[in-house]
Amino acid sequence: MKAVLAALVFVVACSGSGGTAARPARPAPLVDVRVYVAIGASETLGVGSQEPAAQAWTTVFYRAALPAGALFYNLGEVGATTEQALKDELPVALGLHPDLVTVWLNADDLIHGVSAPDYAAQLDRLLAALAGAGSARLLVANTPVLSDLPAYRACLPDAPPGGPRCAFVAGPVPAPAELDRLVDAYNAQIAAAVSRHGAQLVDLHCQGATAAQHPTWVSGDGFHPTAEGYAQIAQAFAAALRGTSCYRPA
Amino acid sequence: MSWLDALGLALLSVRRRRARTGLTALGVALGSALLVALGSVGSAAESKAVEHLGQGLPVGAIKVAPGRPAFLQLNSDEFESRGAHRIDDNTISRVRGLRGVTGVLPVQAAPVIAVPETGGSYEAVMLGTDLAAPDLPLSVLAGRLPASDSATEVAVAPSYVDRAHSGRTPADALGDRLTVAEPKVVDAPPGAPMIRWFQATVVGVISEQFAQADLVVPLLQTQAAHAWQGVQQDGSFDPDSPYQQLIVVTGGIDQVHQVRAELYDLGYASAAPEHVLGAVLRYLHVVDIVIAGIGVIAILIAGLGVANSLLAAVRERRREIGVMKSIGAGDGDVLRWFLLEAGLIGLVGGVIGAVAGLLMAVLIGVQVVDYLTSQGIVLDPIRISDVPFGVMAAGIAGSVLVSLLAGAVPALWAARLPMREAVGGL
Repeated sequence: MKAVLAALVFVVACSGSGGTAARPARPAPLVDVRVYVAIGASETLGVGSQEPAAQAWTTVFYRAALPAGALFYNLGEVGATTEQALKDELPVALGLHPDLVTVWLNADDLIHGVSAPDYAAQLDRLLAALAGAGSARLLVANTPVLSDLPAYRACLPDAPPGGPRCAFVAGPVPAPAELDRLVDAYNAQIAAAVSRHGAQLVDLHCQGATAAQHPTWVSGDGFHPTAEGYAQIAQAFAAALRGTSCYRPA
Repeated sequence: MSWLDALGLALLSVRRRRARTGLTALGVALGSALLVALGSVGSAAESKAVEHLGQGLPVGAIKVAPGRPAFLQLNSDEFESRGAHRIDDNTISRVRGLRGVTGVLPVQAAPVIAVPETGGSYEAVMLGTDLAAPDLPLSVLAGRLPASDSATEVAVAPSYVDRAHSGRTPADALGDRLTVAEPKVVDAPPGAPMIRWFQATVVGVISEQFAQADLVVPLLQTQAAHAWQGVQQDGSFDPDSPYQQLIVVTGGIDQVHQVRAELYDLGYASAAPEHVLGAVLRYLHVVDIVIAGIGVIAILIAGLGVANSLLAAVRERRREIGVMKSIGAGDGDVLRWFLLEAGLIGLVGGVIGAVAGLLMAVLIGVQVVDYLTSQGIVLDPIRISDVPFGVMAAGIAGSVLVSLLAGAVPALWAARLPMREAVGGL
């Protein structure tokens, strides 16, 4: 009987020990937004992270920087160039009447060999349509440094064996210096388009060779970020909302 | 002689003949154990089966689809549809007026991805319903249901608590911030799932997975989800119907068929587990009859044992009875003494039998669950906590009653023994 009583006391004691854990306070939203739309490619969907739905930079940005009542539409498309986004994503975005739009489209254009002038024309059409549709605030990301990405290094003649697959699928692979020049040309066009349409620039290029400095930010495919990398990108977009174009991770 | 004195005498008699009393009580325990096992298995297995087959809906619930019923609809538990038939507010008021209907609930389900703030994401079913309905068949474990006009409140099923707060109580989930993704189902370009997201605060935990839902939200939330996702062409149901489904609550399982027939006449396809549930309940009824037969026989034999034991006791105690009567004890005092002895044997046997019956119920329950699993019906095993307390109480009370009835004849014989005859040997 004593053993039974002792067991009962133990059970009651255990059942009473679970208190409500302290919940971290939600940060104040950076901007009053009702509808947020993300236009982009695989990065916008979180490809490369373990849980794309939860760890995409767009989701992290939405949860951390926008009000709880805001709706978020992720229109990202795997492998989307700006031309594809004009066809698939822009019409949907315009129908949603957003008051915040983020645009990150350039890596797939580069990979598919789209020239800087062609890219500039398509981006200009995209931003013009978004800016002309209403009072949406536009955040446009430029192209980060790509020449240190393992998926690009895998395309070079001296690529180490056992690395990721080459990401450049169209045409001859540019040499590192040539790729840097292409990226610079793209970024110049992005800056000009941003300025023309009253958007805000999210400068991902100013962070430098992040893949080399932070290998854990790049996923196993050598191209897409990991959850850690996406969290830094979300920070960069949040910093742009606060008025800081170039966010440098600590 | 007071009741207390009679009880003291009965206890003394029981202690003096421990072996005989023990064996007699064991006989009672056997009968009691079988009866408790019967009641426990019957009620626990039945409630498990009803719970499983009802898919989280109340007993006697019927699902109604926005489609016209096919000819053989009433012979099937599933939707058998042959064309679209929209469900609107007019439908709801007509169904509410049907005989046997106690509640009507419009519902819409949407496939979503839930992302708890504690990490991880999982595919879930978000169910929207009229949370202001007066007869809502939802019970709340912690917190409350979302406000019927709120776009930022959600109630979660226990599965969420297991996932996000493993090993903790439902109350720990209250206040969680949940991010919910609604992928576009129709017209999304290849490679672009096109996801609509909203954030919500967990305000309540419901007691079971109502209609297999992981999240319960106001109807406006699922209506918005449907507007975004598009409606999958599911058979010949009506994709433009304002409501995707109705849950019609009837007075009980026995009214399900009649209400489904009325829905058929109204022109709606319906689904309810009436046929499969009937087959399962028939199987459980056969189990009940078999165990009940064994239990009744055992309890009758136990009653004979009690009668035999007390008859022997009366014969042995003739002189004691005579002496007691000679010093003033009445017939009623002697009757009370022997009846209390019979009652004590019944009580001890009943308690032992009830505990043994409980364990038997769990063992038999495992066999029943195994059988149902082999038939494609997966159930949780029956646990001791599933056994109703009333069945145990009835087992103990029944044992005492049978013992008292069986002991009545010997007790009356002892009470009517003439004093002179009783002490004749002195």
